[in-house]
Amino acid sequence: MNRNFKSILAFGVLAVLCSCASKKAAVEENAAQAGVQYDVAPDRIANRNVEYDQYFVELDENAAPATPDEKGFIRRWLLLEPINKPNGGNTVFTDSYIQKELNKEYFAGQFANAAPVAGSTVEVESEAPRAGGRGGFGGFGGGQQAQQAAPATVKQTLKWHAIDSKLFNIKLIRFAKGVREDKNGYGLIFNAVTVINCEEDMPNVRLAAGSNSASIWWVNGEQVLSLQADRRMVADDGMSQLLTLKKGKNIVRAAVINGPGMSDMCMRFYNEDGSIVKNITITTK
Amino acid sequence: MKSIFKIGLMALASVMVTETAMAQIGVPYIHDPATITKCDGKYYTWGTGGSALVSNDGWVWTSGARISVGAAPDMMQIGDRYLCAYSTTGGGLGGGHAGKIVTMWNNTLDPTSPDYKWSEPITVAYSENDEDCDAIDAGLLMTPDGRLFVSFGTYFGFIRMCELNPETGERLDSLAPDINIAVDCEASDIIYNDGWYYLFGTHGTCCDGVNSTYNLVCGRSQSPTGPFIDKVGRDMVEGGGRMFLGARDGYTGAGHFGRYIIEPGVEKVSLHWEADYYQGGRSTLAILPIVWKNGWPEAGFNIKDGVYSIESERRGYALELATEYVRLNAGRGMGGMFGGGAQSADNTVVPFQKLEDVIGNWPAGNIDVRICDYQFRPNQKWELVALEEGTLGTPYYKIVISGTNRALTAGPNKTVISTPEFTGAPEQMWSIDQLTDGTYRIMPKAAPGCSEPVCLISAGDSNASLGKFNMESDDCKWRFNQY
Repeated sequence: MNRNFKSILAFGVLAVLCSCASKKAAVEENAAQAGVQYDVAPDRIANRNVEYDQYFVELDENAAPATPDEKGFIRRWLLLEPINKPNGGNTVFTDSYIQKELNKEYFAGQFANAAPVAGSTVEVESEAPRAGGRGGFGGFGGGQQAQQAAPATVKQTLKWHAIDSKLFNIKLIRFAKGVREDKNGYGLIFNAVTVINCEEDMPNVRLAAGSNSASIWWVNGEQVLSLQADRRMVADDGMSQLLTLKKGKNIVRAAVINGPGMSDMCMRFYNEDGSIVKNITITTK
Repeated sequence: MKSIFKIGLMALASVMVTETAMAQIGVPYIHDPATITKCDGKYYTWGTGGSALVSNDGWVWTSGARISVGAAPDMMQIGDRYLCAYSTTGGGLGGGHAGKIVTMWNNTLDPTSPDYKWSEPITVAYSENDEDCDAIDAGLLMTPDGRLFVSFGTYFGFIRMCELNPETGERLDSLAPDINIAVDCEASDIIYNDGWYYLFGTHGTCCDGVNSTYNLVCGRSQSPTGPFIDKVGRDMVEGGGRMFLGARDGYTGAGHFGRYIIEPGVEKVSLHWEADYYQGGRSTLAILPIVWKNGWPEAGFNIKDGVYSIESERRGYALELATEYVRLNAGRGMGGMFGGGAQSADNTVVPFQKLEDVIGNWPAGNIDVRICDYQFRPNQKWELVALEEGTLGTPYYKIVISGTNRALTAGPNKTVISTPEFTGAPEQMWSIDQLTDGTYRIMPKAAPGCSEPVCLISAGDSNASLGKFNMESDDCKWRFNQY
């Protein structure tokens, strides 16, 4: 979403946010007043509010470094507004497909081993979203969509957002719906970057990730993990081979592709002995 | 573990045998089957779109009376009534996500009964068009202390649950919030077993025929509301889940768990295969045993057609015809130090005893059956062939000495004999149910003079008989092995 559009909608968005805040307050009030109480953690209570701020906090440039959460998940990321990549289903995400599509260079510096600047924009040429704004999805099933003529293309101006996720998993679909003018959350490629800061070299660690749907993960420019196929996000779904996080800054980059349906991702590091890596800090630059 | 491993090897080794023992027969075509429910002697299930199946015996299924339900209903008998929970909408993977879970009652599941009438559906839960939940795929849970819950949801966000009033089927407390119990899965169902609640969900690709990767996973909790944790410690809200069942040769896409307890120790899971290779890749109903191992459930195996030793769990001896023992005249590994024949002169294979070596000396009529050391002799090798009839989830089998038509038969006074010919009589038809500990129960369809069901038992270590099944007794349990 561009800044002008945000300005135009500022009042409306504010109204919606107020409405949603009221809705959330009502949920909590109802829970408190319910005759039946359940011994569950607050984050297990269903929240119907799906506004952007329920998932993300946009960071300013002076944000203090973050640390992994209690379970080691990395919640601080630079997220690029998603690139259109319409797909009628998620079963097309074979090994060769994701290697081709997620290694495709859409903009200069995409594969540079450096963190992009929060708030900066890139220009990309991508496939035009299909009718209905749902990535061309046609219903149940997952067979590959019919072959079509060369797809129409559009130019996108996409901004990098520096965010902290309020959840352990980065709800990419909510990011897309929050930043795109068309509110489309399907048929997209997400690019994410984070900076892992280490006081010393940390040899023999593994990057552990899950994504919905397929994804590729890089550490300091080297591809360390790919998760092919029609996947649901599962914590620690895949793990890299042993790698070294070097002293200083380490650039972790992820690309996630999704057709229709939910899309999210999560990532953390493990030591070789199976313990979770926590003695790191996370920044966006 | 060992037996499961053996059984797994058996399955791998048996790709060439007939597949009739693996699948329900008749016209078992369904998607998203409700938990199988018995009413007035018949078994029922319903699928998405209201498709229905009915069976008199639990093995042969035919089309039943459809009911007006949307997606993926579930059914539960509560007292003398039947509660159906289903979802009215749900747009699927790429559609809208507004959905409603509704419940309705009936006094009978027999559509020919004058009492057959569904009550007015009641909405008990919902999802709005774009929230992190899609309220479809209802699953009912009754706790041991009589609390009723329904779980619901699909790949679009959370699996949620809420509590219902078991008297009315309504939501227990309209102000109580739904509870998130899992994420990014679907077709949830919760069961209780031995102090734990187990949440089942389906992962993988749905509705893609032979390419579907649908698979059933579970986590467990000591509270019905979770958190449900998998075997490696992952919360199902983080996507965790331990595999219960995925694909098996010829069958892909296990989905939509439902549990049916026949009696303590004998449990079945109902599910659908996304694609049954042997039936054109159609989605079919499957009913398989549930095996519990170290507190975790696994899908068990029906016995495939083939030749097996049948070994008692009590001692480990093998079921055999009580025929004269015929010694083999071959070398001795101990160099003759304990007397007897001479040491072999070379390392050639010792010829196995063959049926034709001994059958001529067997009596022509009935022969007793006993239990003895397994030595892979012809009188110890039993061939199992699935028959067209069955019981819930398993066919009846013909059990004959391999290479003959001499059949295992339930005799008078709870005896077990072999008769020269298999005639298809009920006392020669055996149901074989895998038990929750992985062993098997072997029951004749009928036994002369017995009005109650009986099963094959080990009387002492060495004699076979019939008796009442008792899950606590190893006398009632058997293993099928192929070496």
